[in-house]
Amino acid sequence: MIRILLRSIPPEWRESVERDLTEEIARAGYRGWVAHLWLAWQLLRISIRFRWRRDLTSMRNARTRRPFTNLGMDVRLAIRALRRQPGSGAAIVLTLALGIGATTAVYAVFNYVLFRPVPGVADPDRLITVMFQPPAQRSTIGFAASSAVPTLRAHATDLQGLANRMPSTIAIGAGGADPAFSSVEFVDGHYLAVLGARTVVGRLLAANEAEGEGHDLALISESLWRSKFDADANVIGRSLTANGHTFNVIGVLRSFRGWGTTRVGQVDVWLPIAAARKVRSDREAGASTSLLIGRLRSNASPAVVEQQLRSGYASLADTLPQTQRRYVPVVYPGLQAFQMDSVRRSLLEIYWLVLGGVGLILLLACANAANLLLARAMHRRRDTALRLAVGAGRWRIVRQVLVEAAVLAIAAGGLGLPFSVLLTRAVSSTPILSFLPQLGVVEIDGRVVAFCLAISTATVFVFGIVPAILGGRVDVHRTLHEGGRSVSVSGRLRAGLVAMQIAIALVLLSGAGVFARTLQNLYAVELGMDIDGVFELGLQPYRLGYDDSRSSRVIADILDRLRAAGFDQVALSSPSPLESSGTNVTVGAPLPTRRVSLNAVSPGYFSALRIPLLAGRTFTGAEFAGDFGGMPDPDPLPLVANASMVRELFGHGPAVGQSFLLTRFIGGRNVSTLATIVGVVGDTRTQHVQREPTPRLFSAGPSAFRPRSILVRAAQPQTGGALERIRQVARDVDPNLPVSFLAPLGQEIEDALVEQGIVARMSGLVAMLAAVLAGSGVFAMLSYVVGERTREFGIRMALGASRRALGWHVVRRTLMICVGGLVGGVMFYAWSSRFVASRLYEIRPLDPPTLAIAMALLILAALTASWLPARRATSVDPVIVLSEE
Amino acid sequence: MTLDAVRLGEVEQLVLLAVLKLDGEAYAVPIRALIDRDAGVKLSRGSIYITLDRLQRKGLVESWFSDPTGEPGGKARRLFRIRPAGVAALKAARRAVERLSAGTALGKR
Repeated sequence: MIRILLRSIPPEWRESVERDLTEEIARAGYRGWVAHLWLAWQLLRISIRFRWRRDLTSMRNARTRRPFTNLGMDVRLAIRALRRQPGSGAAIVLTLALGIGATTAVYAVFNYVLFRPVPGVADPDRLITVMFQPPAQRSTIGFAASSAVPTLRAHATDLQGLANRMPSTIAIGAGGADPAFSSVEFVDGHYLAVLGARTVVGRLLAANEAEGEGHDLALISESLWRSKFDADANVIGRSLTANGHTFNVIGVLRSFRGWGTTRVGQVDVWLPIAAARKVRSDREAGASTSLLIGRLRSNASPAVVEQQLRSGYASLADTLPQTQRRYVPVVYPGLQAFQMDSVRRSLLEIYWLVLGGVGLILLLACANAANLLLARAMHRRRDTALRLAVGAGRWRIVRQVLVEAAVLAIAAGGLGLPFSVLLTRAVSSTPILSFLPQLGVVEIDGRVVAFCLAISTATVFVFGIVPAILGGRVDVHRTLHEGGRSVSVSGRLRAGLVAMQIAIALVLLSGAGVFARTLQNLYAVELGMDIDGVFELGLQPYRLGYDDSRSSRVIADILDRLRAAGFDQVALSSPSPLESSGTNVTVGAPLPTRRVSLNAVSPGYFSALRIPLLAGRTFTGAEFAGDFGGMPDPDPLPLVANASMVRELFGHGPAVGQSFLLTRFIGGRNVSTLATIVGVVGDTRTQHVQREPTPRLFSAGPSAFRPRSILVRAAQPQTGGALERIRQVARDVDPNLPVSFLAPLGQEIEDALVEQGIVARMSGLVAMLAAVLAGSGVFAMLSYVVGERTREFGIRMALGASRRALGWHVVRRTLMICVGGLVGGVMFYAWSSRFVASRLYEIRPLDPPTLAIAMALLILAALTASWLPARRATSVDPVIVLSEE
Repeated sequence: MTLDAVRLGEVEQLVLLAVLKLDGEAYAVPIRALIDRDAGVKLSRGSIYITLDRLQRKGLVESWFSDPTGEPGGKARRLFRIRPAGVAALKAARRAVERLSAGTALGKR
């Protein structure tokens, strides 16, 4: 950098200038990169002085030292110039606003999800998260007894506070609405104080209220307050129900809604930790914890705190159960969650992908703007030469172009911000990414505004700098002598800009093409079962605190009623058939020990989903009913395996009748039973349809597991009333039990593919926009060129050139630019396709048909855009043109 | 010598005076510092260099390179000295100012 700058200083000065500046650096005491930066800056300034002096005489005076005199005049000039051609000006402002708005919207969404601090928390830099993990094994999370927290608190003297909370999902009834499952946190007396949470109305929980029995008090989120209590200022003293127990609201928390692996929290209710056992009907509730929150004293170090916590935990070792002794407290800075890093990483990947796409659109818009400014600067180069000749400073000339650019960018940025707000509104009403909670309203905070400002400013330089430099580089002598008619020196550059637009459009079109093909391929995948007309009903009676036998009774009732209501194919499945993993069990002797996945199903499962039976039989009603009624397992335990599982366990040998030891984790301990394969069924895929089917075992009955879904096949697939009838059956059996999920089974696949769908649709939209922008770039450039060369065309025609030849001349130019752009685009795409390759299914990024279609589309767009200019070129009347001479 | 060749711009005059005053020790850094201190004018480094360049082309100053600094790759300093033509130009400029201000509030009594 410094060498390049030095080279631009005349050779007879180079050495001494460097010497002088070194001396000044030494005198000022600059060091390291500061010295480098200073040197580069001074060299830049000096080299600019040397450069400009060459074109100018000593006419220039102190004017250049005041770089912003008459700025107002430049702004007025710029606005007047834009108003003279309102069409092209508006088009440029709009495209720029689109680019800026889209980029800002992308940032806003990810700012909301990832970058902003957790809302409602004071001084987040001093917060730490403590997790209990095996030493040096960050991928596992363990737990510790909640009773250890006071000891840990006493040892961690560098912490202002240490708090415990237990997250849970329970049925909350508020504001008179039916109970629905909501995220709640059972909190100790320190939790909200450590976070620095504040209330909008009311107060926080006192320590004795949180940890002593008998205080049925609740805090609610601002969002619940607005949605269920109409933001009632007198909400204090009103009540809500948690699993049927009544709690009195004592306060509304400002902004805070907890957090998860992202910054989007969903907690609506905070209850005393002492109430957990009662609400969950679970003796263990709140007894152990996996995550604590602490606040550092000022200047305290997390590493020291970690040591203090570890010594505190070690002092408790004798009182801890064996399982908990394996873990140690690990301190993480900030508010963390288990596996937050991996979620962050995959989100960031998508962020950069999407940002890259909209960034390219912005670049396209910049190229259009640059072309317009360049055309203007070239158009008035005679004026420029004249102004230079009578003593204008070159800075004035450059500044005028830059001011024009800034006016465009300010207008575009001003439009772009509201546009981004609209975009985020549109985005937040759809579940944008399958593994994210609903976004609610994405807030536009100061960071987003700053981002918008920054990229608007950046665009000024991206599209303004080249026209500014070229506009200022006018050969006074030649321009004035030739009467301002010399062929534009910037013609090649402008053609290059258009070619670049075509290249970018090709990249976006090809990308959109392969994404669309990927989506198509994913929907066409054979699942190995027929899910059309199958509905999935999710019920979680255990969350209401029902014990296993009561849960089973409720489910059995619902199954019976569904059959009575005319749904003859009804089955249970745990987990859902489209879930990617079942319960982990261990297969043992005489087979080699290995972990496999097990689904618990009822006998009707295979026929309801039309999964083919390949060998043996499926479960009998007796096998299921025995288990379902809480009776002991049949011995040996009958199992059905899918084809992949058979291949994995037995190779090509026979499977039916084979027995082995099966170990399951039931009721807090490992239980081994003898199991026998009674049947083999076909492989099925999960909601991740792109993944190959995995080995899977099936057992009869849900008793040991919590039933996740009831599958119901309707006689006719399109019975809209089926959903309502199913819901009514569930309500009739137990009105207190919220339906947590009811939808066609295919919905799960839709949900899983929502990300691919959004990528495909968004990239399609972006690509069409890019093609239109590139087309308009071609049009603008050709119109300008034809206009500038009218005289030349007239002369050619007078000399005998045919109209056809002239039209072809224009079209040929278009084609040449196109070919250049397409070649560049293919190279750029070949390089950039690595970023999308992992998101494609059964198609390569460089898919020849897709590329061919994209190229054909762009050539078509370019030819369409050149049609009008070509017609203008051929309709030049030589008589009129020559008489103007 | 034509009149044009010795007509001095304001910056040229300042730089030339500084060169004269620094007497053989004149190079860009102290020239700039001196003009700042005595005349209260802050010139950019670039201005100093191009002005020195121009003064030399007009034949008003002459320059030579000092010995390079001791360290490896050390750079030489470019020193300036005023030539008789430079002194004459300064005198001419001062005379012009005196003649113009004679009889005004600025002139000598």
